[in-house]
Amino acid sequence: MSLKNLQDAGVLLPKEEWGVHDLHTSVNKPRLLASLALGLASVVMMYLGSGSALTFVGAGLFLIFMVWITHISIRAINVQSAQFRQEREAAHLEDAPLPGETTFDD
Amino acid sequence: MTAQHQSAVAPSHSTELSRDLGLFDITMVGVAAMIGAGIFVLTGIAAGQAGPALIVAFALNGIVTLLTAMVYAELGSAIPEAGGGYLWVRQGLPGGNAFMAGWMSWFAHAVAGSLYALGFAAYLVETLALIGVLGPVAGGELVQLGGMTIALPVLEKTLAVAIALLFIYINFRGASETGMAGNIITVGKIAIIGVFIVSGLAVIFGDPQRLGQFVPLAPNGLTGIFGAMGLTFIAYEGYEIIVQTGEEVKDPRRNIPKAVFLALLIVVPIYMLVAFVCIGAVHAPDGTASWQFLGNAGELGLLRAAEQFMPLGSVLLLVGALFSTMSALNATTYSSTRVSFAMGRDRNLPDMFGAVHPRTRTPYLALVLSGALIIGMAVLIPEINDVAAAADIMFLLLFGQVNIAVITIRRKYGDKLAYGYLTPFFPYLPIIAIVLQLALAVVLFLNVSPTAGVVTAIWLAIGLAIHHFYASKREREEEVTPVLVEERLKMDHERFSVLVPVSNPATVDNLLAVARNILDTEPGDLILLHVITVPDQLPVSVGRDFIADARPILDETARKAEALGMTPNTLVRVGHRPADAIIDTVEEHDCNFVVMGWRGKASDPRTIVGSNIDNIVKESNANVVVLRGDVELPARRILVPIQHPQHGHLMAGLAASVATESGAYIELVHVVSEELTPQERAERAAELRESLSALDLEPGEGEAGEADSEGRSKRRFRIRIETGDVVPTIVGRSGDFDLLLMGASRESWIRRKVWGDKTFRIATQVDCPLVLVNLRGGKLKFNVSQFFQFFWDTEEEPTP
Repeated sequence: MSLKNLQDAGVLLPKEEWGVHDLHTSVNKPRLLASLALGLASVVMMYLGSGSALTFVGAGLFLIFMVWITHISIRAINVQSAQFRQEREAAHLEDAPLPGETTFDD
Repeated sequence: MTAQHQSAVAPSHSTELSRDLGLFDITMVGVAAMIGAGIFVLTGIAAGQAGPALIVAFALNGIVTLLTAMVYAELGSAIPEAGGGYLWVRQGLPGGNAFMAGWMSWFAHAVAGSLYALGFAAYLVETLALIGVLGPVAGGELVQLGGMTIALPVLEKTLAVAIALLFIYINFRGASETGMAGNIITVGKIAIIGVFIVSGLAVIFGDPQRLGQFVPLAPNGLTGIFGAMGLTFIAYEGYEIIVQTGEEVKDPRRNIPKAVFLALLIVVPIYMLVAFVCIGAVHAPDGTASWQFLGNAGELGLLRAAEQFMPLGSVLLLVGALFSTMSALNATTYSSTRVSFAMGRDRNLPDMFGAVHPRTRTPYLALVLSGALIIGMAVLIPEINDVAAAADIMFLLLFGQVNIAVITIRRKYGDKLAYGYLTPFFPYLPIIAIVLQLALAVVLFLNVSPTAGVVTAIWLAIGLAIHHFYASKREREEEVTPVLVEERLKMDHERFSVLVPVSNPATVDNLLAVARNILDTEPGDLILLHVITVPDQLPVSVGRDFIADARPILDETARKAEALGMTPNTLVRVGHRPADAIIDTVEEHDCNFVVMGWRGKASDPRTIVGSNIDNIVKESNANVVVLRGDVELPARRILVPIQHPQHGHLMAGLAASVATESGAYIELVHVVSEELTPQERAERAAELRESLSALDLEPGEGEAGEADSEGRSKRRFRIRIETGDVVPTIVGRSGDFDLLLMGASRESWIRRKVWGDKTFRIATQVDCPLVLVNLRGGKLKFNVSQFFQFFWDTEEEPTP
């Protein structure tokens, strides 16, 4: 497998755009860590609760964890999208075609 | 893209992909795939494993799934192709990984189909009993059907085979015929699960004492929880379907990752709520704990629960389960067929897998063979939980591969792809996911279903054998550079051989001189290769037009070789890259040496001698001798740095072969650590001297050795053991010599990363003529090194 395969599949960025985009995640890491800690803690509470009220509190916290981590991830996707657009503008590439926006021959 | 730009880049006859699916649509696709047959078939079985801690198992599975879902969000946004995991493994992992990914994916989807066929059969038996078609026979596993007494397992397996055959036929007719029914089923089953949860919650909150049924929470301990996690892992794999829709999604970079997370947000709580109401609302009539009651009911656990607290529970659950298992069976029949079809088209499986029926345009042979696999596993694997475990183990291993692939893809292609989401704490989260998935697979094998472990191990072993003896050869046939002209090649592949690629008439004399000297020490065959290169845009067949151009240089070189007393075998290949043609020749003829020229400048700053030679050194398991353009042979004073004393014999032999026949001086320098004691240094020197004993060399300083019977001075050698930094020591000594003959054996990637490649540093700093030698290692060492090199290397740019 090679870049040529990706090029043929139409998923490569235009060559002038290589190296333009930051590969650091836009996920808020401290919040993600906190949410993962909450998720793990809630599972531990469920288990250590042994069927008592603590188990159900843990289950409730786990549902909060699911909502929180989804929120963090979706926010990161939005930030990533905006950042991607800004990086293209900074490199004066905003009009270049993106993978997925290209057209294909009949 | 702006209209202006679009018109500028698009040809006049062009079509855009139809991107109809929005965020809501693909989120529902994922939810429908996850709230499917798994919840109906697996809840009871998993409750029997984990007890009330089933709720914990579903939560933990949610966390494990989230880790891999992040990877799917990343790759699905950047490479939104229908192939999904299989495609990414093809892109990201070397060698047989793509074959094994396809092989495992085929099995996983087919066995999931077996699970759903068996689940359907179990629910159909219940339906037939409910409407009075089937009568029980007291005291055993026998039932009455139309006056016949039949064993229940036999009836269930027969019905499973029948429904599998029906869906093979439906898929043969074309999957679109089930599309509308699929949408209705999805809405219907989610509604039924919704009613089930609400009814169960009403019972529990109406009688809070029922919460006591959660004590003890984990009667089978952590083993039970992990076992249930492994068994139900398949239930959450529906996010794979989301990324499969990538080519039809509006704004896939944003919508695909969002849909992956949203689908899990909806599904994980639903599974936990189902577990909660199953354990809390069920009252076991036989006095056992509710989880035991559910476990004893197995795949019918959810039905038994619904019978107790859900209005029209039996009817609704049976309808929901029958339609869910049917839609899941349809989907897995389709997906397993599609994987095996793709493998046929990729030449990983026989061509018949890629055959398309002329009338229905369906891959009918792939369908028949996938159907046979579904039926075979449904019949042969004794218990339904073994079938589930087999599918789970395979999906776990497949996701593990995808988690490795994301690391390589980010490294190799990262800055060239448009990511909509980047996995945080990279690569640690994918690595943690791999470890957890492997652990779950092991738990399934050891604690839940050794049968499933054995079945999957046999399938993997068959896959490895097929890849080794069949698929890898077919892959090579596809990729190998074609031979256009082959003359005099009546060679024994076991015989020693030296390959000389010929392209520049100015360097062939030196190359032939080295080849002859090598063949003097080890008699064998000489192969002269000329490579016709064609640009990437053109097919290699175009190379045939240039055979006439190759003739003069090859014929001239062959004449010179004959003049030196060698009988050359000549070969003309055509390819897009010279390195590929040389590597193919080395592999086909098992060449021991490659002797080649180098113009003296590397166009690729990451390599010592340019990417062509660098690739040959890395990818062909032969000794490679590279002569820089300024080399004049034979040489009189040769400096030979020795990295390992065991290389002394070969390196000194090579030096002798390029030295003047009379009066040459060869100095072997072995740079050692300053921490070595004098005694240890003396031992190194003795070892080196011993390795030279078989060579016709005389110890001593200077160029004038003792004269032989013909009056020629013997070639002399000296061994120097030096301490200090290797690079300045060798660069400093090289000023006094006509030639530096240096081994380019590769250092470990960690050393290169930290210190830089010593060979590279020396080669770029010395002024004297240079010959680089790469000594080949053992086959195992070479293969291991190839494997790790794949992860280390970045990709060359494709020809525009």
